[in-house]
Amino acid sequence: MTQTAVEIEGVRKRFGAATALEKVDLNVGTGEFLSLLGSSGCGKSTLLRIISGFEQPTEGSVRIHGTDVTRQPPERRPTNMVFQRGALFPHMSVRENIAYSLKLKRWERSRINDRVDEMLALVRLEGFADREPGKLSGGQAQRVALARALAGEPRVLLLDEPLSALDLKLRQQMQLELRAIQKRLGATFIFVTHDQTEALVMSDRIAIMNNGRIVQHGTPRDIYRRPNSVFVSDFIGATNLLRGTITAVEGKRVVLRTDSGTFHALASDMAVKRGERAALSVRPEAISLRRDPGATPEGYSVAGLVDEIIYQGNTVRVGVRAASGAAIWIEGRGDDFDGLSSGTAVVLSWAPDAAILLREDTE
Amino acid sequence: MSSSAAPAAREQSRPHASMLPAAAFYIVFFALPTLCLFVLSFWTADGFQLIPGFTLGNYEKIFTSPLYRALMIRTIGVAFVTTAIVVPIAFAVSFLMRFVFERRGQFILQMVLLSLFSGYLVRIYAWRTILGKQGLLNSTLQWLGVIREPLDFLIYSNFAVVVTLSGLLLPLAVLPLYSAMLNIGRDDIEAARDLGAGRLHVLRTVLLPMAMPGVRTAFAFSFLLSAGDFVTPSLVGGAQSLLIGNIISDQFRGIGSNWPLGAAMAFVVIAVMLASYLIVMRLIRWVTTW
Amino acid sequence: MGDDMVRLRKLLPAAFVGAVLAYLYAPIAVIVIFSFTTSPRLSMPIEGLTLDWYTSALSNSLISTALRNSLLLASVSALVSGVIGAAFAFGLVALKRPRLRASLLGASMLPAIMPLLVIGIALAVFFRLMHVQQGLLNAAIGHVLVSLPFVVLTMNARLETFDFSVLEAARDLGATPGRVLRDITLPLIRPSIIGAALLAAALSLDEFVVTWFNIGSQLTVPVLVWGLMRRGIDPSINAIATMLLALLVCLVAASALLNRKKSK
Repeated sequence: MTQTAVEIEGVRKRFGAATALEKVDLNVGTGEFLSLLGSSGCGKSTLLRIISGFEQPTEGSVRIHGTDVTRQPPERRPTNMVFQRGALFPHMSVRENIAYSLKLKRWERSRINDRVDEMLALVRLEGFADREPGKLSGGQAQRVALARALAGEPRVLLLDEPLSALDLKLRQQMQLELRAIQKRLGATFIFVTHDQTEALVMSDRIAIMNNGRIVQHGTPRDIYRRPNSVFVSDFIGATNLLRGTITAVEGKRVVLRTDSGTFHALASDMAVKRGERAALSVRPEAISLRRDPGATPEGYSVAGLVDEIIYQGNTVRVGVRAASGAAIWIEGRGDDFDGLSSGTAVVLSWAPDAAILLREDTE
Repeated sequence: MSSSAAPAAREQSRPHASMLPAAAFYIVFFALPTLCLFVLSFWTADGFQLIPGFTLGNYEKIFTSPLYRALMIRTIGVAFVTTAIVVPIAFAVSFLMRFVFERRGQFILQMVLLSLFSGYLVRIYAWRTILGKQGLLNSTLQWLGVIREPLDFLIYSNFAVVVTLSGLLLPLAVLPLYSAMLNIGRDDIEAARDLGAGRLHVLRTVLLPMAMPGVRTAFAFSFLLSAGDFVTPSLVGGAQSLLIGNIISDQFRGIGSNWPLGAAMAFVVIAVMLASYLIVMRLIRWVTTW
Repeated sequence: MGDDMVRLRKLLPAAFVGAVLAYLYAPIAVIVIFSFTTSPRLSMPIEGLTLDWYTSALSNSLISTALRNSLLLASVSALVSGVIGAAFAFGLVALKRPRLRASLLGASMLPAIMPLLVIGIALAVFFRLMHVQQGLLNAAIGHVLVSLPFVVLTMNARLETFDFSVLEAARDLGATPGRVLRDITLPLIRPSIIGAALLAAALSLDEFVVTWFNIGSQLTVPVLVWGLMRRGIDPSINAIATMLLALLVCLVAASALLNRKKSK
């Protein structure tokens, strides 16, 4: 990683008796696209507001490019924010909105105009300079908000769920556009979202938050492939969880006894002991389905009856009920499951490295 | 989602400093004067001189004097009758504006509110000219040959006071009732009708309870304000229809004025009116939940 | 038969609302009409039309004093209750805790449900105990107190839809709190404040009761009108009243227009 843009150290935030953030540490590299991902109330917005200066942490510090900004008001910080619903100034034209921070910096008029045009080109809204914000569509308004926030060349751009009010198609398009702009400018983006797909698509790195803590951070691939808790594996993508007790540990290999049988799993980077409760996570698309019982790899398979078949267009989801009663979901291309019907006896199996052992969440 | 970010934008758990000037104004010129009035009600007066002290004499005088008692009873009666006219009419008008006239309801609301700002004294005076012995109504009826002699009860009567007060207070009652109606959805009513509720049942079990905050405010407005009005009775009520407000105002601007006694009267009126108000509210709640 | 029923069901509400509006506006109409008729008595049939009552009203030497005082009080109360009421409503809407917000709004409405008589005498007592002579200043304070709840109420309604995130956006883009107030807050809420202030001016122009107990020997238009009314039926009252009405209607209409513009 290159130079650090934002260093958050031991940040804690209380609102009265409620704790919004519980000792958060996080570094964001220069030019990195980092997503703060979590469901509502997890503290992700509070963390963003602490970085932008709208909230003061109860404890801890925030540094931006080496400077401690913890006690600086928002207007003195080298960060700019894109708000959830744009927050464009309704009494100013698009041009005046984008120019606002430059006027405050006392730029010369001609330089401001050039910069505004440059920003409008960046967000592909040439010709919209004299529009009133009230006459823009949702997507256009968010583009203007982005242009406004970027105009002053902030060292860090903060985005607070800026796409959440848009419809799906537009959201997907804007995700790619945002990502492209970030890459082109080489800017540092911190993006708050509750949408895991959005985070996976756009980010260099994702920090997953729950109950005021960062529970895991890493590249989208790492987080998807190697979730470190039941919470994360459930939150990022869909997964099958088989809960049980550890009966044997050989290095990274672990044997887990569950109601549905005994399985082998990989304990990626956690220390486990015999007798502990744990869960086995297998992604639906990592499971293959066969009808003949044949030779099944011991510890990596389970037998059951087809329960439900859900057609999703390009993919099909199949629900299988194991003898123990546990439901296991599989996902695959449509023709993988031709000829199946409810009640068909099947065997599910997966590759050894697809089975991840996860600690049960302790709260 | 939106709930995580929306409150953040207006996160202010402590009152903002911008509220200070008005708050200070309320405290100095509303709370403090009311407190002064209360303290004064235990003082005595000697001529125009105020004598500090603590005596319940003023209150005793109010409760033992047959005149004051009669005035108080008449005041409560007039306030009740006025409110009983104003609140149902305002309720009906608000209902129609909301559910029958819909968009044009806004225009009707503007018309109703405009009358609120069109001359308090003027409207009272106008009723005197309408209801007077040789006033508009009597002269028109005589001119048309409907009556020979002018109708006496029209002016200087409780009737005149109630008619005038109702006109003054109706717009004030519409305001809270209409905004309460805005919170009731058409589907709330339709759901009840769909479940087989009759019109009266819908009124009692859906409309009234849902509009209750508005009813409460409308009731408070018309009840408390009609009890405190002294201009109406002195212009259209005449000597037979004076209310307690006239006596109170005389204690402050009359010839034989007695401020401490007037202050005590004011508090008795407020207490009696508040008690009656609470009783009526309890009654309404009892009817709507039963 | 069925058609008649339908028509009746449409007509009945209109007739009812029409009757109520007639009840509210009849007195006003009477005053305006009879300010132009020759007969000093307000009776039917109408004999002829004249502007005499206006000339006699305007030649009343007291009226110019009363009008000057009334306009002075209206301006003061528009300015003061407009500014402090708007600031109060602004803080109120920004408040996060809904119960605190509701109770503060309720408390600020108290002067509106308190009989004006009680407000008037309480202020009179207060000023007397503070050894402040009755006069215009006392009346002005009374007017601000009477109009403040209405200013807070209308501003509160207008600000409910105010997007507070624009204020944060301005801070974020580098504006100090003072700049935010100047560049963003004031331009956005100015029409509402002016609307509310005009309402306050209208309430002040029309205020009689609180004025009566606090103004001492000074005159305002309503105090003058009250004096004339007490003396009996004087047709110049109708003329003065009609002029006052015209002024009030202008103020309230302007206020409504400003608020409409904001909400567009």
